[in-house]
Amino acid sequence: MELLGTLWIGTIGTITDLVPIAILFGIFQFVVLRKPLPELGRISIGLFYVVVGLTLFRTGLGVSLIPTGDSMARQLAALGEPGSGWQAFLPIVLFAASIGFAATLIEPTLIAVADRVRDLSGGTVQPWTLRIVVALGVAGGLVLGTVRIVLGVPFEMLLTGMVILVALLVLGAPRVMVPLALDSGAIATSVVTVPLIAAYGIALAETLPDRSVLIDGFGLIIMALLGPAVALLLFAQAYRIYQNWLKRGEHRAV
Amino acid sequence: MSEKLLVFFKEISKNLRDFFPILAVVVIFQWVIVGQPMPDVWVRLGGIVLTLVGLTLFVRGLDMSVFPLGQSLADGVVSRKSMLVLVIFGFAVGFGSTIAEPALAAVAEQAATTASSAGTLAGGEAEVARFALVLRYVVAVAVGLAVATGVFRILKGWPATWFVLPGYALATVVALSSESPLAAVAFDAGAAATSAVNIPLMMTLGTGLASLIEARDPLTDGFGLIAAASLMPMIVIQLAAVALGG
Repeated sequence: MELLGTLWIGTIGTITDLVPIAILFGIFQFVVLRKPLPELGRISIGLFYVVVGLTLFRTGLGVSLIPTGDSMARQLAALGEPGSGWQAFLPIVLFAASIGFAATLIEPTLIAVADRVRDLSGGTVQPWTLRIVVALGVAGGLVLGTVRIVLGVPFEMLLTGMVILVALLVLGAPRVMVPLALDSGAIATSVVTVPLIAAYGIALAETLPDRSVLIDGFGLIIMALLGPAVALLLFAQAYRIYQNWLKRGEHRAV
Repeated sequence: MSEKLLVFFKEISKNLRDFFPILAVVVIFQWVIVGQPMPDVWVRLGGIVLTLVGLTLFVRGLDMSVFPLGQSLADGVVSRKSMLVLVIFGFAVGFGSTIAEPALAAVAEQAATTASSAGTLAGGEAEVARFALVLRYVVAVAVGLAVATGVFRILKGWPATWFVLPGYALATVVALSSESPLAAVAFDAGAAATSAVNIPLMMTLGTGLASLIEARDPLTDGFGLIAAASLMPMIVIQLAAVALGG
C-alpha cells in the first residue's frame, strides 16, 4: 500500500517534469512550424512509456543504487580506524574505482553515443574502445576524488589541478578528438553513475571525522566528468605516437 | 502484442545481464572485504529490478516520442534558416529536456537534504523540496542558455574549445575566489545535468545545424554542445549563490 502511494506521487512528479518540454515542443510544432503531429498514436504510447518508466526508475533508484552507494561508503570507511595507516583506506579507493568503471560501462547514454561515434568517424573509433577508455577515466577521476575526501584536501585545489591538466592536454591533442573528449565526461555521468556516486560521496563525508558534508560530500561527480576527458586525450595522444612510430618503421623497412 | 512483449522482455534481460558487473563489484566488496551480509538485500534486489524495468521503458518511450519529435522539429526549424528562431529553439530544447532529467533530480534532492542537515538551509520538508526544485530550474535555464549560445557558435563556425576552456577557467576562478559552500554542489549539479534526455536531443540539433555550414567535419559537428551544457550550470549556480550571499 505504501509502495502504491509512492508510485502515485512519483507519477504526478514525473508528469509535472514533462510539462515544460511538452509545452515548448508544442509551441514549435503548432505555432512556429504550423504542422500537425506526425504519428500521434505512436508518440502517445511513447510518452506513456516515458511516464511509467521514469516513475519506476526513480522509485527503484531510491531503494537500490542510492542506499547501496550509501551503505558501501559507510561500511568501507568504517574499516579505516583513526590512527591507522593509509592501507586502511585502500578498500574505499578500490571500490570507487571498480564501481565507477562498472557503472560507466552500462550507462545507456554512453552506449548510444559510442555507436553514433563509430558511424560518424567512419569506423576509426570503435564503440568498445571508447566505452572502456571513458570508464577508465571515470574510475581515475573517482580515485582522485575519493583520496581528496579521505585526506581532506580542499575541493578547489583538486579542481584547479584537473582543469589545468585538461587544458594542457587539449592544447597538445589531435584537433578532431577535442570536442568528443570534452563531451565524453558529461555523457558518462548519467542515469546509473550519478545517483550511485552522489550517495557514495555524501555518506563518505558523513562517516569520516571532521568533514563537512556539503563541502566534502559533493565534488565527486565533477571528477568523474573530468577524468574521461583526460583519459581520451591521453589515449588520442598515445594512438598518434603509435601511428607515427609505425610509419617510421615502414620507412626504415623500405 | 505478445511479440512486442517478447521484445520487451528480451531487452530487460539484456539490461539485467549488463547490470551484472555492478552487482559483482558490490557483492565482492560486501562479502569479501566488509565480511557482513548486505542490509535490506531483498528490498535492494527488488529495487534493481524496478530500476531496470523503468530504465528500459523510459529509454524505449523516449525513442518513440521525444526523440523523433525532436528530430522532426530540429529539421523543420533548421530549414527555416532564421538565426533568431534557431537560438530560441536551442534554449527551448536545453531547458525543457533538462527538467525531465532523472539524474539531475536525484542530485538536486540529495543536495537539498544535505544543505538542510548541514544547517545551510533553514526550514522544514517543504523548504527542502522547494530548494531542490529551484536548483533544477536554475540548472535547466543555464543549460538552455548554453544550447542557445552553442547554436550561435555553430552557425558562426567558431570552435567549441574557445568557449569550453575559458568557461572551465572562469568556473574554477569563481570557485577559488568565492569560497561558497555550494561550489562543489554547483559542479556536481552541472555534471549531472546532461544525461539521458538532453544529450541525444543536443546531438540531433548539432548535426542538424552542421548541414547549414559548408565546411563540415562529421566527428566535431555533433559534439561540443554537451560540454558547454554541463559547464554553464556550474558558473550560473555559483554566481547566483554569490549574488544571494551564499
